[in-house]
Amino acid sequence: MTLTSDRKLTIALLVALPVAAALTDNAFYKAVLVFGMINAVAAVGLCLMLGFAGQISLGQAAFYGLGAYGTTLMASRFGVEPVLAIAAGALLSMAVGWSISRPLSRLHDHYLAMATLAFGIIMFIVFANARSLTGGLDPGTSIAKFSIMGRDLSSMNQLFWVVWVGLVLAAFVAGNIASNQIGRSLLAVKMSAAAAASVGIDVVRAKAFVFAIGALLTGLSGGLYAYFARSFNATSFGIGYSIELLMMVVLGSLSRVSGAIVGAFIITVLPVVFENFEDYKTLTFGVTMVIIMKYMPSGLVDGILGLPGRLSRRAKA
Amino acid sequence: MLAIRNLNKRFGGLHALRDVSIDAPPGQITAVIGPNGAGKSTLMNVISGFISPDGGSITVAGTPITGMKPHEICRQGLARTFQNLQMFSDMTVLETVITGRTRHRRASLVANLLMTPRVWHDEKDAAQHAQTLLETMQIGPSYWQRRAGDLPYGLQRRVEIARALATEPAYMLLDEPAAGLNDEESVALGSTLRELAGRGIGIVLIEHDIELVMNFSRHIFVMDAGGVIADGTPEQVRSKPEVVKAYLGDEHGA
Ligand SMILES: Nc1ncnc2c1ncn2[C@@H]1O[C@H](COP(=O)(O)OP(=O)(O)O)[C@@H](O)[C@H]1O
Ligand SMILES: [Mg+2]
Repeated sequence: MTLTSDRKLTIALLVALPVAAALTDNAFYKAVLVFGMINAVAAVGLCLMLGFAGQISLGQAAFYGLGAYGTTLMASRFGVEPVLAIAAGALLSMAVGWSISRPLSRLHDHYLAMATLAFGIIMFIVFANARSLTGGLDPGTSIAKFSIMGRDLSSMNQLFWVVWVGLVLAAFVAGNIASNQIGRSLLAVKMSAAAAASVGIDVVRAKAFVFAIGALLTGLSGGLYAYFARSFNATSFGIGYSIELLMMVVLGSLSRVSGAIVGAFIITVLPVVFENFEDYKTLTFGVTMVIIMKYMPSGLVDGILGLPGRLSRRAKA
Repeated sequence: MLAIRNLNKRFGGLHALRDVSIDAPPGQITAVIGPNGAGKSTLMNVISGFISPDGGSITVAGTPITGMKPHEICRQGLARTFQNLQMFSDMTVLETVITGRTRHRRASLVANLLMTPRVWHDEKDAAQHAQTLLETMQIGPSYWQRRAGDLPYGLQRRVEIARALATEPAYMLLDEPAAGLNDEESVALGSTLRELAGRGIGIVLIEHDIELVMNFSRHIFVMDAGGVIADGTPEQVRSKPEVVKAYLGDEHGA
């Protein structure tokens, strides 16, 4: 039993996170780490959809919102134990992802992009207007502190570990998919749907599966976000977040789970770093993105992992 | 027996298949030849479920498969390759062939998500099986970890056959497998196909390479303009004037 380079890098990242958290006492930095991990869970979901199965989604914020509101409703209205409320939110999101996959399964590329974008917009309108359930844009909604069996675990240090466990689970499942026949079936569907069908892969079912698992992980991320933010409104679940998720995956790596995690941290941290540049924030951010995309078209992680090979080839030449 | 009865298919005004009936027995190479545009690939796409026929029936060992989806037809024991290669380009050669085994994997979805020891074990089995098939198709270990899309054309064709074999088919449809091969490679392919037929697989060989067909197939069906115009053993077919006219006419034109 051997581990792929993707697996090793993922494990290294998952180990590095608590180390980074232990090294800082700054509450703000710690919150950035936690938010980065929340984003990473969602990015891992989109990585399976887009990177493996080739199914682009511009509506991931909808699943994020379904997870967050599902969790909040379960916890606040029905007094469900927080961990179970998060699970319920994720399952709600998964059910919706699975049900939209069938009508979407005939669409490709930009048609799929448009359809998922429309889904995202519609869900945002629902989140903003179903005020009795979501609190809409104003006043929004809020959720009680995170706890397990009545034990309060809501400090940033404690939340760190809660979210970390969520990310470990997401990375474990996604890493397994990446290294077994499920992942290969998804890749097959992306590379040639005809050939995939010719070896007995049910293409429609494979797409339904990847929408379901992508929605599940993004919904899980939304549930974690609810306990992180405690009080939020529908603006968190707009198109902007869907685009950010897409940038995380494209920037990190389209073919590696570790890439999605790296991408998530870049997109979470860069705006914070560039805060110091004040007026040039957006510009600097944009330029950095363009540089990465130009020199590492298959993502930062693939680019860096491929660097030794490229350098030695250049040395020989 | 792979039994094809009275297949018809129209593309608008074009009658691409007219009452095509073909029998392909197990353990033999049955060839379908004919000039470009005769309808051979259309026949192949109809049999494998990628195009639905307007009429007619197809049975595999007595089981009707007409109207089934391509992945269901594969699960009935019918595999295929494509005239225009359909590779999993970014996979390695080995992964490509392992993917061909998908229909035989038994571990549950949950077991796969959790990667239980059973799944690890299955993975190893599938890799072993794929390696054997790659050897059968004369693709050496030095190629196994290469990106499938980077292989020379002739090798990609053989990888496609290995991938089809991985489904453990009772019948295999090959659409112009010798296209782009030189004479030597073509003969080697013929012997490999004969060996596969010897293992009991019924092979339907669609080919332009007349030598390959004449030397290696047991029975030949000749198509022209959507219909079967003649059939018989290589000797019988070679001497029929309508075949010479339809087929060699095209050869001279090409
Ligand atoms: N999907 C399609 N739509 C319309 N016409 C088609 C289609 N597929 C094939 N044809 C036409 O059907 C005829 C038979 O094509 P084909 O089966 O590819 O022939 P062959 O494989 O014998 O060269 C050709 O005239 C071709 O242009
Ligand atoms: Mg053809």
